[in-house]
Amino acid sequence: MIQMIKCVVWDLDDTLWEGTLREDEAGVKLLPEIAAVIDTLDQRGILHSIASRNSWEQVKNKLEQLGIAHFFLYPQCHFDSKAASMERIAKELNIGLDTLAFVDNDPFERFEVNYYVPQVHTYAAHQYRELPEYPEFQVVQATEETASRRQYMQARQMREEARKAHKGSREQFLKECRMKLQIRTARQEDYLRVVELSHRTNQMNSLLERIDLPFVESYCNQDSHYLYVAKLEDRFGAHGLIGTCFATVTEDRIDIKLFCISCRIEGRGIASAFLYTVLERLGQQVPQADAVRCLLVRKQRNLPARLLLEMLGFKKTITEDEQSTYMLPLPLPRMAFDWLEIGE
Amino acid sequence: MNRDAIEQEIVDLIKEMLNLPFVDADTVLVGNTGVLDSMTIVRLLAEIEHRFEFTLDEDDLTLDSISNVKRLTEWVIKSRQASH
Repeated sequence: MIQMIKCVVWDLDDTLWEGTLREDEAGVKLLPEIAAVIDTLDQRGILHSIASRNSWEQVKNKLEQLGIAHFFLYPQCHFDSKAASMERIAKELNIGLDTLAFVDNDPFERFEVNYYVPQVHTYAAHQYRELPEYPEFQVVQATEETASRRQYMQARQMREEARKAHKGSREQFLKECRMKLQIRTARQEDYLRVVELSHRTNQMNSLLERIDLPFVESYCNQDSHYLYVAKLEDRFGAHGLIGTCFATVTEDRIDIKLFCISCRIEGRGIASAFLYTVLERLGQQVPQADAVRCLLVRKQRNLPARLLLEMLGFKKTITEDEQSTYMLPLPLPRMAFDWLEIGE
Repeated sequence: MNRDAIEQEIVDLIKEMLNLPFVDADTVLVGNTGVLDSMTIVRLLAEIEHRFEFTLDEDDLTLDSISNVKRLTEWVIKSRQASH
């Protein structure tokens, strides 16, 4: 399967624009149609960032003047290597290096990135018009969520900055974020986003499985099959639909078939709160159930999914090939998430 | 690098990653009063691998082995010896 690009990192001089900013600020102009390319990718939920050796002050002014400053997250303008910039961007956005695209006119820079961070996809500057045509830049189907991704990531960036500036305890900080987690069964309008989440998640995808729309539709039409979703908002804005969980119930057991949780909500215990609440609600539907079962594909890339199950008290019972069975006896252990407001 | 130096570096890392003013050997990392969620643990471990230049054996990783700073330090030392 092709790894989808989640963020394009642009060099500036003679890549994003013609000319050299430091030498001829007034003469610098955007390459033809490049703004349209950026916008098209943005509409698809693909983020943009920058790796350049220009000074940030000067770059910021120029981008504002060109009317495209709002597109770029975590821009890297410094004299460190661009390979280091790739690592920083991936870390800040909490996405894999293999989901980054790097566009630069200088073959040396591309070679260096290929050498130190071979997972990053590199493109020569002249290819910019074709980027939206390449398979790795295609999205399953754009959802409302897709087009708002940049705003969600900007809210996340604001939250990160507030976190760095906060002096109190962690719990106090989380409380001050005023997070509201809405957990409910999925409606028709959520289905596309559920499909998209399954394609975009790795760290928190229990089976590393990609599903399609007909699967979701037929799943929701079956008895005893539940599809839950979670939406998050906080004082920095909405974060959109960030989690989904497929479950089935029988008289004596709840089965988690698949869960996928976005990694942009890392660091606030949202994933635990989501799965716990889903199990609590399903437990009320089948009070006689005495256990929860969850299958997990054990691979390095979804280690967080495994740790999440263990944090909730699941224990591994059987492992066959790469798949393990995890069990949790009911009733659920008591857990409180008092830094969060959980609603329906 | 001796044990105390490794522990101190881990303490500093957690402080920096989570912007926590007070972290010491007894700080609980995982669980109801823990400061890390599962994605942050993995990010912390990746950073530790990078700083101490070794590869963790994830099969060997249990929540118990990283439940507080002291245990995490022991686990890092053990994994580091196994990897070298």
